[in-house]
Amino acid sequence: MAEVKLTINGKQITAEKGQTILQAAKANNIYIPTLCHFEGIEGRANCRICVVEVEGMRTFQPACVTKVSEGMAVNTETERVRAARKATLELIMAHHAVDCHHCMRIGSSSEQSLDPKFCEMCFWCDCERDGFCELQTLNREYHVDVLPYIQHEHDYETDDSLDSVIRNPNKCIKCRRCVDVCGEVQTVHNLSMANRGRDIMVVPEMGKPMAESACVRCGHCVDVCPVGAIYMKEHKDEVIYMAHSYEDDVVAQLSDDVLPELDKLYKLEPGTIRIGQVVSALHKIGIKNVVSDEHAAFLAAQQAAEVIDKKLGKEPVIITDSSAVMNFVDRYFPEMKGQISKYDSKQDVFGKLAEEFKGEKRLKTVNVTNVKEAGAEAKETGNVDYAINARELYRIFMRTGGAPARKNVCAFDKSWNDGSLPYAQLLKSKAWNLESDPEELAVLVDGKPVKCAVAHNLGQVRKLLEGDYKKYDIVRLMA
Amino acid sequence: MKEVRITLRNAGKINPESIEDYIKAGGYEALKKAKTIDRKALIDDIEGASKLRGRGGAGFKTGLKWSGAYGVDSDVKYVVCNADEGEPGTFKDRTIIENDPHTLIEGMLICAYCIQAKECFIYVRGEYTHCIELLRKAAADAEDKGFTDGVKVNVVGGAGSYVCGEETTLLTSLEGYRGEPRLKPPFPTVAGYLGKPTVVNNVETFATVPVIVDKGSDWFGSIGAPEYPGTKLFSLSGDVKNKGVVELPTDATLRDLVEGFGGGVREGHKIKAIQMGGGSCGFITEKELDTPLDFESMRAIGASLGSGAVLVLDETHNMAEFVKGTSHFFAHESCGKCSPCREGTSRLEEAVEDILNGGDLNKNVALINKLNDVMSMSCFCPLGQGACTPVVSALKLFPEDFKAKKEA
Ligand SMILES: Cc1cc2nc3c(=O)[nH]c(=O)nc-3n(C[C@H](O)[C@H](O)[C@H](O)COP(=O)(O)O)c2cc1C
Ligand code: SF4
Ligand code: SF4
Ligand code: FES
Repeated sequence: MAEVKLTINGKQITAEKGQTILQAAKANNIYIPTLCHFEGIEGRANCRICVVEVEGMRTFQPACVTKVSEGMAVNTETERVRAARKATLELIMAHHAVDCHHCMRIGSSSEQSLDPKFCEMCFWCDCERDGFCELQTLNREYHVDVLPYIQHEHDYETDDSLDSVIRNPNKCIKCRRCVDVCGEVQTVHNLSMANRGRDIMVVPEMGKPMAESACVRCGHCVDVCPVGAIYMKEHKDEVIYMAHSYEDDVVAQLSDDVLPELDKLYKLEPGTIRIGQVVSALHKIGIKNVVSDEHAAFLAAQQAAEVIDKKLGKEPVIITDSSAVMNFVDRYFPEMKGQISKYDSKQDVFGKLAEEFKGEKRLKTVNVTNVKEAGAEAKETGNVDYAINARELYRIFMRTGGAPARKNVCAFDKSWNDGSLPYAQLLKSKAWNLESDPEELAVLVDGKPVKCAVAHNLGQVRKLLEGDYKKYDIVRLMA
Repeated sequence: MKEVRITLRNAGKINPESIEDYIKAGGYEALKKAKTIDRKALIDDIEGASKLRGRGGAGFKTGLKWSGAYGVDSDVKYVVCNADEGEPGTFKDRTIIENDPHTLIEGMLICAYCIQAKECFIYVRGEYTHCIELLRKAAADAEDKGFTDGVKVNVVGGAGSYVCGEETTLLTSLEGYRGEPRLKPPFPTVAGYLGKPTVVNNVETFATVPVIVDKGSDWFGSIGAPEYPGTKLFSLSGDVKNKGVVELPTDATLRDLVEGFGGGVREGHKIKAIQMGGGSCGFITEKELDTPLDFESMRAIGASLGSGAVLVLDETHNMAEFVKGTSHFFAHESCGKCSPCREGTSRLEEAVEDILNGGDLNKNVALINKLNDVMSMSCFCPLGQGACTPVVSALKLFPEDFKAKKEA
């Protein structure tokens, strides 16, 4: 890879040709604020927060998309760029349905009066992103306070037609991460931009409500939205309530996929929070029975293995445990439906086996997982009462003082003696990614290698179902 | 100073619907001649000797643009004519098309020959339905007569927004997407329409090419200002006696245009301001009337030649009122892609409006300057970058117009 020499803030650095200023800066521990940029999605340079001064250029350049070049001199923190960033933030804020900035509880809308720690615990204003909103973070960093404009908000209706993925267009900052994830990565092409100028907005297919749109309920738009404009319906109150209710027996299944996000939200080093501490914190808020998701994973994998053993060598084996994948197939590949074997998700399995915990009282089930489609799945299939993702878990802990990092490590309340996961390499839990090609792997069946592919997003699912599946013996689809 | 008709040489003399008329006037001879010349030599000649520069607003060297597209190795290349003409006060491209559509097509075919493109597009402002019809007929006739020689000339109606005139937006719109600018680099000459090398030029630029090929680059290069030679079409409007399109050599002065051809303002009135270059440009006053009408001279006085729009305002205008109109235009035309323009354009309009309604002048002026600082530096495309220019310019030149309102 060819090298390029440049200076950032006077510091001589070497970067790879083709890198953006942002990437080069990051590699050298130089911080440049961003808002619309999302690592892995091609930059659109819409927000203009990452602007920097490049010597010799008439205008500021967006660091997220501007490529480094030999001899370039970049300044990221001059008074002028900082002022421009702040002015842009003010413009965005003046058109943002802000819940968090004008605190009714402490009676101030002055940034200096707001203590982030206090805010995160308070939830009075209760924006779903309060505390980890990227816009709020920038506002604090740039002391965006009393705005020089009259607040103008749109008065769009919140679209809660799905009762899981919820859209509040009044908070949207038009970064288009959701549009790109939905279109470019997931290839669902449900979300797109409508109108222009100040009225530009994100709309589902043909402006329909989400429930009637092409949305497959994968939940990834929720994940990338930097603000509270798309969020997963929360059930904090319900969960806390039933955990303390004398009428309910609550069982929670806890997956360790929430740990990385929890560390991030608590601003801890990756790997700090241990699963046993989360068990402990869940006990603390009143959930007495907490089980690991490993048993459900094992039972689900057994189902998948049965399908594989039956079909392998006779017909293409296409398996999935995802209801979002099935929705996607319904919409785009209805002719393939008969060839796809749906096995239970961990959430499905948990819903069924939780019966074991049923006593005198009403049984309530909570699946704690960072699988993005879990919330919509719970809503639509009713397999568990509630699905709680890492962000909501964090918000519950903040509200109840259940900080896991300060808890003792506690064992799960029930364990099973399962053997090892069948086809572990293929069937173990895997994360969503933004890549365009599916993962390829070979598993040994009776000592012979069998070609497998795993789709880690719906774009990869599309690729496989369009014909590439024929190249493999086993295909696993995730949304 | 006399009008010199080079680009408009056939205007009024031929029937624009008749290809025979155009041929009788020497039409399509330049194309034949061009095809006898080596491609690269022809491009170099246009660049070096004729020094032809884009007439759409940015004044980029046409030959350099063509050699960019020529130099990229690609089987598929495109030639696109920007006939979106959305700049307020500009109507010269329409005059060219309505009088002589074939000269535009011939210019594009010469370009297609030079860069080896097989397909051309003319992106015409949607409201110009008559132009679209004329061009469709002209393209069909040129094909019938065999002039297109396998090159397809498509005429496309525009999406009806100002920013679609910006070249990358135009290409995005042509591809069927939302009219929004895209990142440069890559420039259109490298990755334009459908990602292929594409030359985008203004109507006037293409329409001037046949004469240059016909009469020679040296001849063209000797007319007008040395660094911006030839003639330029001006769209003269506002409070002058004679409005219309005038073609002048580029060493003519603004006075030649406004007083000579425009006949000055009405009796008993005087010129207050001239908005030179289009709606996103600042104002100049009578003092600058002797400035030559070329790119560099205009730049030297802090004005711009732009598309050649010249809007003359007499003293009956209140400039605060006037720039309220321009800021409304930008708020309406912002595509909404980038935050400073999406939000800033309407805040600018609000601030001007507030001044007109008797709001706090100092506060609003400070706000306008703040908006100008961020928008001119941070916006994605020139639309947002220039949106504050008329307001800032009016505030500087005519502060009394803003104050008067407050007291009234
Ligand atoms: C907001 C905006 C609007 C523009 N509108 C037009 C237009 O209507 N017609 C035009 O020829 N160029 C327009 N331009 C300039 C084009 O981007 C481009 O520079 C031009 O088409 C190149 O042709 P030329 O080199 O022949 O001038 C516009 C630019 C901007 C930023
Ligand atoms: S909904 Fe969220 S992710 Fe989508 S454009 Fe708006 S702010 Fe960005
Ligand atoms: S400056 Fe930004 S919002 Fe305005 S027209 Fe250009 S890209 Fe669109
Ligand atoms: S982060 Fe670069 S423009 Fe938004």
